[in-house]
Amino acid sequence: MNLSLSLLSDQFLLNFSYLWLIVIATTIGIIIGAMPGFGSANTIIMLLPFTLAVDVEVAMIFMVSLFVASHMGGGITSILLNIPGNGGSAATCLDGYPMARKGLGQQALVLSFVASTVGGMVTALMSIFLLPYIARLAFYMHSVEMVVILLFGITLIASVASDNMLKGLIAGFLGLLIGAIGADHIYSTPRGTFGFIELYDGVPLIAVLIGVFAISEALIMMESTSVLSDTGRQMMQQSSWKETWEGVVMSFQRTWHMIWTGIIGLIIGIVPGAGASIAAFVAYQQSRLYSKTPEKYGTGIPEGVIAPESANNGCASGDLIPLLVIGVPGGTTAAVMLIVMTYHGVQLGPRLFIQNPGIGYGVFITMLVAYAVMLFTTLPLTRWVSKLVLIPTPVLAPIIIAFTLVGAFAPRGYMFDLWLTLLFGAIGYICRKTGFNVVALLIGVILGPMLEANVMRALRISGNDPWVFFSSPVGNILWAALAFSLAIPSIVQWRRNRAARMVAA
Amino acid sequence: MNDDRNGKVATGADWIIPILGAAFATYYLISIKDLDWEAKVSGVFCAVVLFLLIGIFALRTVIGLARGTHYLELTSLYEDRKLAIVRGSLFGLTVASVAVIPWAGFTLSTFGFLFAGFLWLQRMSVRAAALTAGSLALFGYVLFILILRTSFPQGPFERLVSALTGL
Repeated sequence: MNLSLSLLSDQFLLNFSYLWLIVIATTIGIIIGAMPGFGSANTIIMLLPFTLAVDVEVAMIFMVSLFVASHMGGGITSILLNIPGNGGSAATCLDGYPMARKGLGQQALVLSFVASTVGGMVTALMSIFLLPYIARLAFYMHSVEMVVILLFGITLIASVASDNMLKGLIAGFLGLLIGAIGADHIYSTPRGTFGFIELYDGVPLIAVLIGVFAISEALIMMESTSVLSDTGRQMMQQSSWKETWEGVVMSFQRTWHMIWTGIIGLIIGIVPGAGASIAAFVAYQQSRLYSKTPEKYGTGIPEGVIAPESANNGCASGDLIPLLVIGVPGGTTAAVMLIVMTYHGVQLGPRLFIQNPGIGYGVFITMLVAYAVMLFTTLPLTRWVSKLVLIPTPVLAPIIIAFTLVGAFAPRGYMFDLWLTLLFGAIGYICRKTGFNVVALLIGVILGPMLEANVMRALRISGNDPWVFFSSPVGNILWAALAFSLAIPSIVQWRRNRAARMVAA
Repeated sequence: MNDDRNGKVATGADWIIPILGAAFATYYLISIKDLDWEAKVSGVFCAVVLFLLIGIFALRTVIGLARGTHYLELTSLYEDRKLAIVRGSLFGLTVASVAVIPWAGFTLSTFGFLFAGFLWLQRMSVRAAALTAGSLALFGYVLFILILRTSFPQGPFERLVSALTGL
């Protein structure tokens, strides 16, 4: 790998010469990141005529800038409306929205932007220097380990996001089963489709996301005339630049927190398919685990916004590492980038760093420049964007429904998806009112197809031997961790009850 | 349910999701019964775990009811009549607006939905509701149809603009 100072400075200069393009791409990225249904992958696909027509370096600058900006933009609606722009920002709702309700929406947005920037920049820098070493982690993650990681992800989310772990697990496994709807990977026979041909490709994720979050949230919102509490409304009405500065101070008081949660995102992002949603929840859970005040998580505290946002953006760096080093895309957007690079004749894998080191390392230099640009373009916006929550809910709720339904329709263009969104809206509403966590349900639907693909692959490779799932040392360690994470809440509860009985006696 | 009253846990409405889940898992298992095992292994695993979890949930609730730590309550989804009407109206309006999209197109159906929503839910004046809903629907038309080229069914408004401007 030919990493040299002159190569890095050349790449910086190239990126600065395309600063205008980075500003445009990051602006588009933040907007589409905040709109459920308009992910970075879809947008890059729509703009393929541009990326295929220009030089590969320019195409990469555009795609990478748009990609990282969409990761950052997802947090905006999570914080202000409790509607995640994408799966990676679902964990941000847990503390971001309570902060907004308290009138601290502006500070929460700043925390989200700064954490995203620091998490993204630190992991991009680390990626440049550790690229050859950290990529090897991906080689240890085969289908067996992936099955355990995915199940671990569901149990983790069920325990983190829910007050009641059993209800969280029910929601998560119901989500996994919903994710198993559609034609199977080998014989293409339809399963659980209720006879609808539109479900042969599986349940569209965007319909689930918009239904369980946006539609159900709009219905819940109608309980009061404002998203904000009375004190929260007063604080928001009097807000000024001071709150933006407060958010910046709050963020840098937790610099180490931003760094280590970003690194968690980077490591999880390297595992192909694990994705930002798991990274954000793992970071949130770890942040709570090592906190001196774990009971405050979920009530609207800065650490609860920083951890998932930093990990979400750290994951963006991790997503691109397997793509560049072994030619395996870590996510959908990375897969689209692979197509564009292949079209331009770029050979991915270890040879990339010999034949085209500028592209290999240039991706992370673009990330650094894009994050720096976004910090200056997004921070001033927080003062006005945060005012969104001042709109009365009887006005806000119909607007949310009208515009998010567009996102449900856009990816496939089926009217069926709109009806499905309404169905999931009703399910999401019942879930919310009865204590079944909608985040666990959504993550289950996202992970369902991945779980199935990895189970099938492991069984095929092993000649249909079910013991294959316990055949790898890394996998067995993960199984033990999974069992431990399931047992620990019951053990803690049992010890508490016993202590209470002893005190009473 | 999550709300505790005098230390007791309400149960009743929280059975809707487990019942729906069990019904769906049963249907799913029936739909895959004739398939090759490779096509059903993952679904069977998820369905079995789901049944197991619902079983534990049922057992916990029954024990809780027997011990008196749980009590039956079915009204938590309803709350009060006024709120139910408001919420029902919003959902009804949404269903109606989706139903008319194939004929009215995106812009008119969005305008109609927002206009009715603002009038009914916020009690806006007709003029203010029409102006706000009109501007938002027009913004949506420019962003989603003209810029992002979303393939929504064309309605009279989209056809008229297309005929007049060629956009």
